[in-house]
Amino acid sequence: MVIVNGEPVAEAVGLNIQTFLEQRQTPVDHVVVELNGHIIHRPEFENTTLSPNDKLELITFVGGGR
Amino acid sequence: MQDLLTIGGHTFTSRFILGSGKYSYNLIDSAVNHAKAQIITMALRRTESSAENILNFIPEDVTILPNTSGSTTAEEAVRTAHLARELSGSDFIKLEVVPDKKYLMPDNDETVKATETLAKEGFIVMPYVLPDLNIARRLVDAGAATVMPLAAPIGTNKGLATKDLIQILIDEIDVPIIIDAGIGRPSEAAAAMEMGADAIMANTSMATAKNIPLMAEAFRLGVEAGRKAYLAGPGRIIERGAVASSPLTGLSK
Repeated sequence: MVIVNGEPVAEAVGLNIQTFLEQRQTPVDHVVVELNGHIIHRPEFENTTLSPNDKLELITFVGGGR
Repeated sequence: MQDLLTIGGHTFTSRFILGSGKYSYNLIDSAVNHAKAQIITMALRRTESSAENILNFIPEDVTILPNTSGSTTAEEAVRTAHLARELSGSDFIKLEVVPDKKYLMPDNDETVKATETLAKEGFIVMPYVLPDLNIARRLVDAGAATVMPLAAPIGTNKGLATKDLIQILIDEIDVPIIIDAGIGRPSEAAAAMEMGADAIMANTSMATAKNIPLMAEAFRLGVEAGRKAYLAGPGRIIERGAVASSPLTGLSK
């Protein structure tokens, strides 16, 4: 299991971040990725493989403020 | 000479900043085209696959100002700022540290702490605070690019409830003072600008208006009127009596 935004996702294990985002249909340009508390820069998505018990946060902009 | 707002070395001709908490295409379009906003704030949250991304609504020449809303401590705000910089590619951060859920009051001390950290890391820090002169001075010493005092609690449209405290900041603090919450009407935006505020931020007041484009235009006019009045220097007030405005001689009887 990889914990993605607080939810366990079994099929994420073994995928690199780029592939995982594409499978999830998450627009790569509009997301910041934090893996186990560390930001993963976009060029590193393909070289970073998800392991069991990883904690992945996918963050984007939403409307906010006053 | 052009009257520019300068924040962290970046210049803007507009003094109206749009919050996008209550947003729609109509609101963004109105804010950009009728209120002439050049800066729009945004929040960071977990992705939801179904939601259309707000970035698709934002024209390219508008500056995105990410906020740290949702942060209740300096540490959380610093983390959010790092995520924001990675996503926006810019150093602008609207710093909000708000542990209180009922009145949404910012924690001024934690805000100073986060400002110290983020300014050292090269962020253009725009902190949201309860107006307090000593805190504002500490923010400036810590490297804040602006100070953003609240006029009234967020989302209330209650206007310039903290007017006298904001005036002290305007008079004593050298970085831009941007009024951040509570402005409900263009007349209040005009009043704040006339006091010498450098810019106004609003969202709810436009988003909850019956006619959003018309209210956006009214806000632009209010901000511009107040700014021009401030630059012009308002006329004096006579506390007692009156001063005749027509000649007192040559009266026909």
